[in-house]
Amino acid sequence: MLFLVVSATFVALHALPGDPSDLLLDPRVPPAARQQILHLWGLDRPLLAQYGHWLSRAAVGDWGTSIVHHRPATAVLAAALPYTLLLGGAALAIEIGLALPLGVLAARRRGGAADHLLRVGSILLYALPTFWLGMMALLFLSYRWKLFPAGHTGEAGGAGGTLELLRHLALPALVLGLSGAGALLRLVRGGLLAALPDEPLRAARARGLSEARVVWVHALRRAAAPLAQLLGLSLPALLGGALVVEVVFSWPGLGRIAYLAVLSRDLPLVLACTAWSAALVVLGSLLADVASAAADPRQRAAVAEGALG
Amino acid sequence: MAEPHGPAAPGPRARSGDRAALIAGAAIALLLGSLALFAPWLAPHEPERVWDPAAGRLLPPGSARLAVTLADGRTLLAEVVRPAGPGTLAWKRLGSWQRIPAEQVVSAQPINFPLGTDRYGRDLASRLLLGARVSLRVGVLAVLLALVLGVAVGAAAGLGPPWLDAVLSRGIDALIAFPRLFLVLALAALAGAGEALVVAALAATGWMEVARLVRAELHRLRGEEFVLAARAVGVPPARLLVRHLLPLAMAPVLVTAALRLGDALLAEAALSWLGFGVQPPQASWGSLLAEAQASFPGAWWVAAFPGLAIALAVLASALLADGLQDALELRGRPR
Repeated sequence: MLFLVVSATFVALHALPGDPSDLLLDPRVPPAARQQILHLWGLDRPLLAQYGHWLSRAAVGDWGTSIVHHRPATAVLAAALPYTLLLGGAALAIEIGLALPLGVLAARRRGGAADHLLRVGSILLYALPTFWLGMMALLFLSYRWKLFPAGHTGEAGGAGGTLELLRHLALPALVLGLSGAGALLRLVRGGLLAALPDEPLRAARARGLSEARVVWVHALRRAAAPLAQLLGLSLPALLGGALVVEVVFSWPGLGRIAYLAVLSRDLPLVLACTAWSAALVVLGSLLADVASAAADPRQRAAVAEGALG
Repeated sequence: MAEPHGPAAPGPRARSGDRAALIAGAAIALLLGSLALFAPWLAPHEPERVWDPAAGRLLPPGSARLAVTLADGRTLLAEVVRPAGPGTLAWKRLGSWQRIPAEQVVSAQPINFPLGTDRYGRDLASRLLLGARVSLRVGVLAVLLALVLGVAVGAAAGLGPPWLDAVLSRGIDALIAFPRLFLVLALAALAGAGEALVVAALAATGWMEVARLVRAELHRLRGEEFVLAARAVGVPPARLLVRHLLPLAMAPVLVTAALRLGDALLAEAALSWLGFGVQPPQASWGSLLAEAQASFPGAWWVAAFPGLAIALAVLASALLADGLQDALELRGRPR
């Protein structure tokens, strides 16, 4: 799967018009020197040869050298990856922390005022462009009211330490989490509603368990498996959102690297970014499958089979 | 519609709130659509016109000025103009009073900027209206293309031989798992930028959900008796697909199409904002936001209004999808 995506990206990027050498080299560079430089980067060989070479190197963990950074793409990305994971993880935590209780509330008060309010609210959150939300957050929370620092990670380094990093993380994570929470809320509500009238729940109610316990423990547990899978499916959107949020807040993660790499037509780095982001999603989906299986014994066999197959 | 007895069997979702979603979504969509359609006539000013690069830039919403046309053909914006003695006028421009000979002034007309002006002094409301045309056109075209592509691939997977189904389904799974923005960004940036390219890139990355849906629907319908009957009578597969199967599979596709439209609008905005989509000076909601970056954080309105416009359009498509889903399921899906 990963292989397919990466190959498609490679072919698309190389087949499209626009030669990286045009962008990299001054037109005044003499043709001989130009040829030499292209040769150095391996850009003068036939496409198939480039692909074969690239793939064989990628397979052993060498994703080529970034043309702009003059460092191995792996090193550039490895430096960025923790930031994206941190941002994505924090956003996911905020997303779940918001959507789960509110989704449960909406499902319990189904058809009531709270449900309608949450319905409108969740659609609104979905409709707001993530980067715009980020811009507005910056404008009001950072520039106007100076509640949060505007962008970067607090690179002062040791001075502020972890606390400083968290202070800088707060706003981008909040924006990214909020923009995903709307969709998740609807999923939680839908999942719970699908699980609520079920026989076991009626049985649990008949046993005299409190409604809260029925909903929070029994119903949620029944809804957990599909929810974990849906969460896995929402990972591409989260990563896409992370891209724009990282650009808005100058957060030095994978998305911003990808954006800058595309800007400068740094092909090896673009390819590596694309592949790594796909890998993140695949890895996330795998985790989601595992979580889903943990919640629902019936799926364990299927997942084990999928992992092997 | 007033039904005398109400819906025969009110399903779990058949609620008045859902009808409201459909109506609200349709109303907003209609409003935005007609605003975009009639934008050239509705726009208060020419979208590209720079009234006064110095005194007309970044005026806040609701600003009113006097457009003073001078004898040498220039137009400048003044806050107030009043007579100041014989043959002399005084105007207040850029916060200070100046005197000018009256014969230099050809005319002075009041002019309003309901949403303010951008950093070049162009009217934001007009640019927003004209931008709606571009953004909605890109979104609708991209979704239509994605629908065609999705239905084609979905039909091939749903009705074709099992090996084709396996190959196509794998491909769909692979592409769906991919962060769309990364892919669109890479495509758009390396093939250049511009409106046609955005449409192509969005369509190329937006068809998978449709294909998956069509395939599932066809699989569901494939075993139905009327399909077997049609096959037995010798209806050719293509005709079977177009005349009998697709119309039945269309309901969920319609719902997805509405959702896809919202996604496409958001993706266009993000792409143009990153600088790889619709290019300034052509206005789209995304490119307006890209331009707003330059006057950030001083002028909130140049960023706020295009974002709200996007949100409104996406909201309409989400409400439509929501309402359509309920309305179509209400009509008794298993036929």
